[in-house]
Amino acid sequence: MKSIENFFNPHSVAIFASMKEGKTGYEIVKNMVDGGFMGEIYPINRSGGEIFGRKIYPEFIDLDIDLAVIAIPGQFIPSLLEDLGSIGVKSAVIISAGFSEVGNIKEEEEIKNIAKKHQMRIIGPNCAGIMNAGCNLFASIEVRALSGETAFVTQSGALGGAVLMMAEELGFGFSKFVSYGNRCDVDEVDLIKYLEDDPHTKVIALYIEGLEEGRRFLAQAKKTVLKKPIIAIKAGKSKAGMRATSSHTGSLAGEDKIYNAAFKQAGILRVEGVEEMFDLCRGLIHYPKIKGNKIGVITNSGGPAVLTTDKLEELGLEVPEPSESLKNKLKEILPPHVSLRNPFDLLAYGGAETFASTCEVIAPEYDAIIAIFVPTASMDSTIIARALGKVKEEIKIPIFASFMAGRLVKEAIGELKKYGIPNYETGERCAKVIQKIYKNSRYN
Amino acid sequence: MHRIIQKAKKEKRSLLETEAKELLKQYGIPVPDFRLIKSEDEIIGLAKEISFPTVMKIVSPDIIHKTDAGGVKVNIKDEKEAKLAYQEIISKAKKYNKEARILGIIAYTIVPQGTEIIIGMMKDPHFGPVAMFGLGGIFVEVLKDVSFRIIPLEERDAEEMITEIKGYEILKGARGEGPKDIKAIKEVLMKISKLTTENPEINEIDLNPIFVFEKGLQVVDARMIL
Repeated sequence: MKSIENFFNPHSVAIFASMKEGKTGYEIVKNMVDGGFMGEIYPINRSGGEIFGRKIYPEFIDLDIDLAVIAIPGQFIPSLLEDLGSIGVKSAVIISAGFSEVGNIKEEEEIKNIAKKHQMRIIGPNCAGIMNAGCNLFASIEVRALSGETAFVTQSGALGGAVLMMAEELGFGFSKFVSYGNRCDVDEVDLIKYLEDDPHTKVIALYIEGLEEGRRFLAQAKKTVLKKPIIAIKAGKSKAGMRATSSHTGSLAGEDKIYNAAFKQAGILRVEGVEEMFDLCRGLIHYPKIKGNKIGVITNSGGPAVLTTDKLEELGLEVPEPSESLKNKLKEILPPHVSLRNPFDLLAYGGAETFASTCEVIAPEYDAIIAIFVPTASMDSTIIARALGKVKEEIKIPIFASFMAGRLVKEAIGELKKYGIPNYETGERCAKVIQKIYKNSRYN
Repeated sequence: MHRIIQKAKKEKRSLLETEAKELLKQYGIPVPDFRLIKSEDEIIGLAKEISFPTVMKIVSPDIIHKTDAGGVKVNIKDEKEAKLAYQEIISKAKKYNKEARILGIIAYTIVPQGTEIIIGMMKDPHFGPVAMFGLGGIFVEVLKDVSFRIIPLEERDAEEMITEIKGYEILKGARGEGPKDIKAIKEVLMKISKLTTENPEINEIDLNPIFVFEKGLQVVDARMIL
């Protein structure tokens, strides 16, 4: 995996592209410079001159290049790769398009063979580049990712860019970002294998349109999920299974059903789309496992708690009553009017102290807690958030939050984040995350 | 290569029903007692080998839709009826397709009606052999209530294939019926996984229908395509 490591932690990056304002090369160099890349940046173009105060090198033969990022027209790539290979460059990201995705298989084969000859690894072509927030490497045309603990590996560059934009809005960060495009060499299996041992990655998220080597992928994923969870969005659900078969079985097996089966067997969490992917990542980063299906719901407001409970039960999770002995313990800490049933509705008494102590008392009988809070005039949601954050360290089960809503709780959500408590806009979304993690925890 | 498969390959055809059932038997998958009858004379003494009543069906690599060809007779009670059925099936089959290679007639013991299930195998271009499971009849035809897993299966996969279909409630016992033999279904799935892995020449399998009882099951019809 050393060959993949070099992509993410290079000492120097050379960018081969047009450096004119608004062109790909310009954008990449800008990202690299603004992002504060810790190694050397070599913009390369025959034009020479300067860009963002850096020299543009017309020649590169004497440079010590670790990673080449290429965005020149496709027909010039083979000879460039030959030159790079001859000076010992081992990694290249090819952003340029116009290869197998438009039927130009010959040229793609050619670059593949050149790379092989020089033992050079290639990401792309037809991709949006790579990022490693850990060393400020932003070898990409897309918006720079915030630093985080999810690695995002995408077959579609455009979707990758959109995800980065959305993540920025959400304040969601990434450890690595890889748009692998046509995967003429490095593919999702190589990347998963590398990320499995990447200490900065806690969750691997994939966007897949199609796999070439399904069985190789399955074998690798089965191993990786023992160390960290994998989430996948698989596009192309509606495509009917267009295969020539004569059996009944064949006629029933659509492509999507096969992917579903494979993901289940590998222990990969499949999500419908980007929104669900973010939700699940935010949960998994803090809680890779949930051991059982008994959920305690603590709230200061009836309505959202009922909706949450309905969703939990619909998804096959339980919202069980506490035992008699637990009820007695609750009686000691709660005001007399509070119901001692699950959901635990603290009503207007739901201050920071009560929220925290209720969590602590019920924790031994439940597998996860959802704390729902709707701010009132007399209660400061940020103080509640802090109290939950502190109790999180005391109890052994996951705490999720649903502080409602919008700007009313913005500050509180920031506080929850500091303590590693994921917050969801609604309890229903939170319930879906819990169910997915729980179901997956049974095997890994 | 298994000798049955070798023979079929040599003759450039898929497995006959009798061959598919023989292979299933060798892997310990229950099929009703059957015999391949190659001439009318072979019916004498049939009652000693398999119990009546039986089903009789044409065995020909060239006749896929056996019912349309008049190639199926059910509820044959004794050897006398079997002889008449034999003559009728052969003559109808010859009329249906003059060129058809007729290798004989399969006679198999009728088993009591059980809950119908279907188990199959097909090959995916990216994932290779895949197993399928579902309840028979409208569940598979109309509702497409089936589950898949990539072969080889682990015990857990077989278990999930059975429990994840909506029709699982029926197998657990519905409308006053007792629970069906789920362990036996699981065993067939595991054995199909083994059979597929050990015989890569087989490209598709349909075991349809399989009758499941409260105890045990029987594969009533089987197709294997090379």
